[in-house]
Amino acid sequence: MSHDLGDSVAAYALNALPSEEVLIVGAAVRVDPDLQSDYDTHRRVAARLADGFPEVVPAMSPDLWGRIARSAGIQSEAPVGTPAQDTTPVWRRTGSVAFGIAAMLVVAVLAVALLSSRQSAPTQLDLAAAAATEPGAASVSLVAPDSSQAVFSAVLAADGRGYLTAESLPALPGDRTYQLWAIVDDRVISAGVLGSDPDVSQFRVEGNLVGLAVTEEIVGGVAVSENDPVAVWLAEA
Amino acid sequence: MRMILATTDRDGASAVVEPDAPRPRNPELFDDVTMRDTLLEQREEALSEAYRRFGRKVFRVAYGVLRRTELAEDVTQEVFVRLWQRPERFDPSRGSLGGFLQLDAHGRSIDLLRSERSRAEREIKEQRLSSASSAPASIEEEVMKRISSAEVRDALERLRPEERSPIALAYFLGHSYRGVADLLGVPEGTVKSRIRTGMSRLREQLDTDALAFG
Repeated sequence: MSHDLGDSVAAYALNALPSEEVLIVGAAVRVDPDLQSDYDTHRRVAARLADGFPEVVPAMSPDLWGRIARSAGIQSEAPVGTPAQDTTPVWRRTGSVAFGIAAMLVVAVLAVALLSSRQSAPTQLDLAAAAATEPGAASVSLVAPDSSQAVFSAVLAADGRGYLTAESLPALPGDRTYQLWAIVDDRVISAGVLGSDPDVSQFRVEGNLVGLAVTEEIVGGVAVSENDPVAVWLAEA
Repeated sequence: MRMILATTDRDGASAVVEPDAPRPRNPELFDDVTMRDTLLEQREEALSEAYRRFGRKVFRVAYGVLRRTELAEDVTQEVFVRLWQRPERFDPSRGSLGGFLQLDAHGRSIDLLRSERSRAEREIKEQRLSSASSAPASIEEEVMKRISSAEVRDALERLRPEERSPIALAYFLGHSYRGVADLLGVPEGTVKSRIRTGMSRLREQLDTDALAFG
C-alpha cells in the first residue's frame, strides 16, 4: 500500500475526502483487504469521536418517525421510548493470462448472443462482439464490491471505445438509473448514464484508464456521485 | 472507560449494545446480527426498533455537524430509510449498528454541509463560532470547548497540535482535507498525513473495541 493511499484512507474514514475522491478511494478500499482493514480501524476511531458532539440538542419532531415510515413505505407504529504513468492504457500493458481467458469467455458469450440476434443493422451487441476481436482489445469484469460477483463485463478497445454489458443486475425503479464512471489517472469522470435496466452500452474514454465503476443514481445522472459503487473494475498497476 | 454490554448471537458471534441506547422493546432484536437479519427480511419492527434505540444518537451527530434542526431531521430520515432499503450495507462482523448509523449520519451531514445550498450558511455559522477572529486556532479552540465527551476531548488534547487541528476541523466542522489545508496554510499531503498519524494516536487512547462500525 502506498503511503499516499494510506493517508487518503484515513481521510476517507474521517469523511474528510472531497467528493471527487470518495469513489476512487472507496473502490480501492473495497478490493484491497489491507486497505479495508486500515479503513475499519480508522472508522472505529471516527465512531468514538461521535461522542464528542454536544449532548444537548433540540427535540426531534414527533412526526419524524412518521416521515421515515412513509418514505420507507412501511406502516409500523411509532416506536415507544424515543426514539494508477505512461500514455498506454493499462489494459493494453497488462497482457495477463486472466485477461486472455476473460476475453475468450466474453467473446464466446457475445458470439452466441450475436448468432441469436437479428441479421439487420448492427446493434450495440454486434459492435461489442466485433470490438472484442480487435487487436489490443481487452475484456474485463466489473464485480460487486461485497461479493466479487461479476455484475458487468466490458470490452475495452485500443482506441478508447468501450462496451459495457450487464451480466447480473436488478432493474431499478423508473426514477433511478445506473451510471458509469471512468477512473482516468486520479480523476473520476462520468462515462455515461446507463438507464434503469441496461443491456449493452457503448462508452468512450480518453487517457490512462485505471478503473471503471457503476453507481446507482437519480434519473438523469449526477455530476459527482456520493453513492457506493455497485460494481468495480480496477486495473492492475 | 466505556462500558459495554456484549451478547452472543445464535451463531456464536458477539454483538455490542451501547449502554446509553434504550433497552430493546423487542428482546428478539437485542443483538445487531439478529437486527440486520430481520431488516434483510424486511420486517418492519426491526426498523422501528433501530430508530427507537439509535434515532436520537443519529440526530445528535447530524445536528452537531449541521446545527439546524430541520436539516438534521432530514439526515436522520435518510439514514434510517437507507438502512431499510439497503440493510446489507451494515456488516455486524465489523462493528455495531449504532456506530454504523452514527457514521452514516456524519457522512451524509457533511455531504449536505458541503453542498452549494448550505455553503453560505456554514460560513455564517463559522464566523459566528469564531466570534471576532476567524483564525483557525480560534475556531479549533471553540470546537474543543464544545466537545461534550471528556474522554474524546482529553484524547484530542493529548495529540500534537499539528495532528489535532486537521482532525477537529475536518470531523467537527465538516471540512475536507483540502479545506483544512487552505485554512491552516499547509500542503494538502501534509494534512492527510497528519490526519493519519493523529487517527492512529487516537486509537491508542480511545476504547474503540466497543464501537466498531459496519
